Amino acid sequence: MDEIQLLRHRHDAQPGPSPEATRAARVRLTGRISRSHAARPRRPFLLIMAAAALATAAAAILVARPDPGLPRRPGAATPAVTTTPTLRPVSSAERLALGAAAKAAGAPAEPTGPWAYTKLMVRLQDGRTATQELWRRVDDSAFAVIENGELRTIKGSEFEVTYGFLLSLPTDPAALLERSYTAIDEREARLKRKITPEERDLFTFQHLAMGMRESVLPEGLRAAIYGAMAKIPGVRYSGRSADLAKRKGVTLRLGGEEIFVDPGSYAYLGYRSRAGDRLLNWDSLLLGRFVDRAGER
Amino acid sequence: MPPDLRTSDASIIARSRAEPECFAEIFDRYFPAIHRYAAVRLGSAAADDVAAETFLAAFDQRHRYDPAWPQARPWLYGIATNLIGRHRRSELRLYRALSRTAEREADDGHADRVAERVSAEQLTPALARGLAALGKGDRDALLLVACAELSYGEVAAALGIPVGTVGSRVNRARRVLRSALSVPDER
Repeated sequence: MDEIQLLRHRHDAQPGPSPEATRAARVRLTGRISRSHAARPRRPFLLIMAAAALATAAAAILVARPDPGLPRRPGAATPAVTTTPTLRPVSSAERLALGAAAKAAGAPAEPTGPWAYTKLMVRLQDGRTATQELWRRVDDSAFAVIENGELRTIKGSEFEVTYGFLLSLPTDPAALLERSYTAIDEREARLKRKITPEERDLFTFQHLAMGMRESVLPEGLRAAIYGAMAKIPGVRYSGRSADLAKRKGVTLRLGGEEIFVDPGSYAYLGYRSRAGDRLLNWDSLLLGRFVDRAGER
Repeated sequence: MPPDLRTSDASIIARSRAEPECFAEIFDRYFPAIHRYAAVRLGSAAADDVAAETFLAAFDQRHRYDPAWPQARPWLYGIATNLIGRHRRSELRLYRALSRTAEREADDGHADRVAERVSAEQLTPALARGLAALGKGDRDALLLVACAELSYGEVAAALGIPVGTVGSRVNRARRVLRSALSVPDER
């Protein structure tokens, strides 16, 4: 038996993975797949596209269908971005945040359970939609998904915006915004990237939007995030819109990043991300509540 | 389980760009093989992690998959080999431990049992020492040929090196091992 045969013989004699190891590895992969359904643009070129879309959209907003009070640019080119039915000044976004804060008065300031349950409707790249259920520990120690009809729990957190970060945020909008800017500055420093002030605004808005899309938040914190978003330069409010689940709502938007909010209950409805005319992500939060254990709805 | 020829790996990976859940099929097809390869090099405990991470990395890199390769085996083995490279010290420790274990059992008078096992799960002390003495690139190429049964072309794709380099690495590695086993060269 030569050396190749010896090595091959030894290889073939390996017992193979145990059922437990196979199951654990599959759960990890399923968790990653679940995250990817609505992954935000993480690669630099997509971030650059998003930043470019910000500039394009900002110009388009001025010429799309402005309110009478908004300036019209004479001779402006045909907008590259689809028009929205109604555009109002950012003060409407501030009113939205104030209304949400007023409604949140007296609501619990902390999570009312160790797990956050969310049911998302997501748009797949071929245009179809799918729903995803997720249970996420508010201490970031684990999350769980349904795979082949079974609940799988995965240790750790694979979420870009952790609950640790979200729950550490102050409920004063200005302070919350400052803390969020700092988080983005630290992230970009780690990545050794230099960003423009416009990109800093966009990434901060995106960070907060990402934080809301797969989490359940105390109402006061949610209102403060709306308030912080309203303070970001360039953020626009649209009074008439519909989310992926075709629910009527209002939106806060910066460039291609957009969140949908129910103007009556101030509930967060969903998130959409576009780069130019490319739709990168669109999902709607169908259900969201704190629960006592994974699997509980 | 042999790959379903009606649905190539390449088409599944292409589909998984729009429908990520399709990628689970790639896992089902190749996880046992990748695990076995990692276990040979690192032991079964470390193989659990490396094999799992191979599929996470593959999923993240699926947009870069070259559709010219209908089968994903070389691609997956290449990713696994890169991950194993991060555990080089563990791999060398394993070879040394296998060598010592076999020698100790032989000293204890269990020669017959050792003789049965050295050709299966265990390595002969000489072969273990020979593997430990190989350069990383040479060991990667040899084990992909011997254990994963990849062709030189597939090894080249897996490691991102020219086919000629694969040949020279494998030949060099085989000479070292044959010397360790005191087997005369064929020429």
